[in-house]
Amino acid sequence: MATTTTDAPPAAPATARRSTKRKTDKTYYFFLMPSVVLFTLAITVPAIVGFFYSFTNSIGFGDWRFIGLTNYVAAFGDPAILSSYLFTFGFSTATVIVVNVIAFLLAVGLTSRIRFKTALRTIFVIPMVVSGIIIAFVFQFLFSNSLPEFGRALGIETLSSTILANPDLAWVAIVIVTAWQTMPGTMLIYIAGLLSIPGDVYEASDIDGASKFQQLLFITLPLMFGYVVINVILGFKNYLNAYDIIVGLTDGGPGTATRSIAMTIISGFSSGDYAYQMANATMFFVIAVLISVLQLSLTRGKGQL
Amino acid sequence: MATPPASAAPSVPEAKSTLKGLDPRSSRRRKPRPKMERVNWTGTILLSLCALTVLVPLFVTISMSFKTGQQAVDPTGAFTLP
Repeated sequence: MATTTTDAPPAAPATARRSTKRKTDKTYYFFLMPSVVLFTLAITVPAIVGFFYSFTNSIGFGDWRFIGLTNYVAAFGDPAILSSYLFTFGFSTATVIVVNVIAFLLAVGLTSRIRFKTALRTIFVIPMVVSGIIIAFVFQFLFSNSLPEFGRALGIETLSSTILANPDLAWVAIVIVTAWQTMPGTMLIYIAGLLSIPGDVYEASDIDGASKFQQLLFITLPLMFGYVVINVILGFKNYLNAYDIIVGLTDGGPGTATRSIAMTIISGFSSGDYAYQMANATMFFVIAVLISVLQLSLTRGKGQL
Repeated sequence: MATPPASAAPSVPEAKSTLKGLDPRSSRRRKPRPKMERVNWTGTILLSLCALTVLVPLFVTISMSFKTGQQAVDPTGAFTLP
């Protein structure tokens, strides 16, 4: 008996090893390789090359030499880069709040007992499928022509001239247009979350005499917390990369009041600051990674999506 | 669980028949009816008004795509048809 039990364990790992080897056969690698090669060529190699050039004085072509951390030190003290970071983080925070509040309220409305539910849901999802640059140009026309006329007709001084030319208000227009375009995606996630809440919970609270507002505050919001976290962090990461809508609306202006980080980095390719903006891009990448880590740590174990 | 007495079994259909005999309409009342949901008209109207914020810029986008260059840049004609 004792002999049998001592002999059995060595045999089991060997069998497990053999079965594991059988599972990972060549077909697995065959299907995996195209994705790995494409990802490496399109993402990893350019990222490594960019990181390498951030330690040089390259202008994008011709000769270059290593200059160490000079670009990074200069980037930290550059007011243009710091103002673009300030604008991008402020814009992202404002847009995340606006989008999530509106999307949540719309999702609650669109999952309630309303008429024309399917038609209304379809209408609210349409902006998601329209290109950002087209939307930006249309809104630029409306903000430059129709809104000032509307403001003059109503006698509102602030709206009587285009807000896109106002350095203090241009960011508001960008927030409005970005929210208009990205709100459907957030709303769909909230609708999915609201539909996953069992109806029994609301029935039980009805029996307990809870009002609709109490149900929203003490049942819906706590059960939707995982979705809120995901929407906030995904949205924030998305808005940090804002580019097309800003280019279409203000092109970074007036002056550099609405210049985002992505616009500053891309301007480096045409202005000869290639290596300098590569250092800026590397710093931006580190920030994006930190936000991703935050996202993973906050959503770990929630099992909501 | 105690087994019910044998005499209790036939009493159930009897009771049913008695009830039916008392009120013949009760069987009709028990028929499952489709429950009419109360429509939230306030929410419907509010959401329809909110939908205008989506539909108006879409209308401008589509109408502008049919306009000539001169009509498209006309500042007073954003909402007019080509």
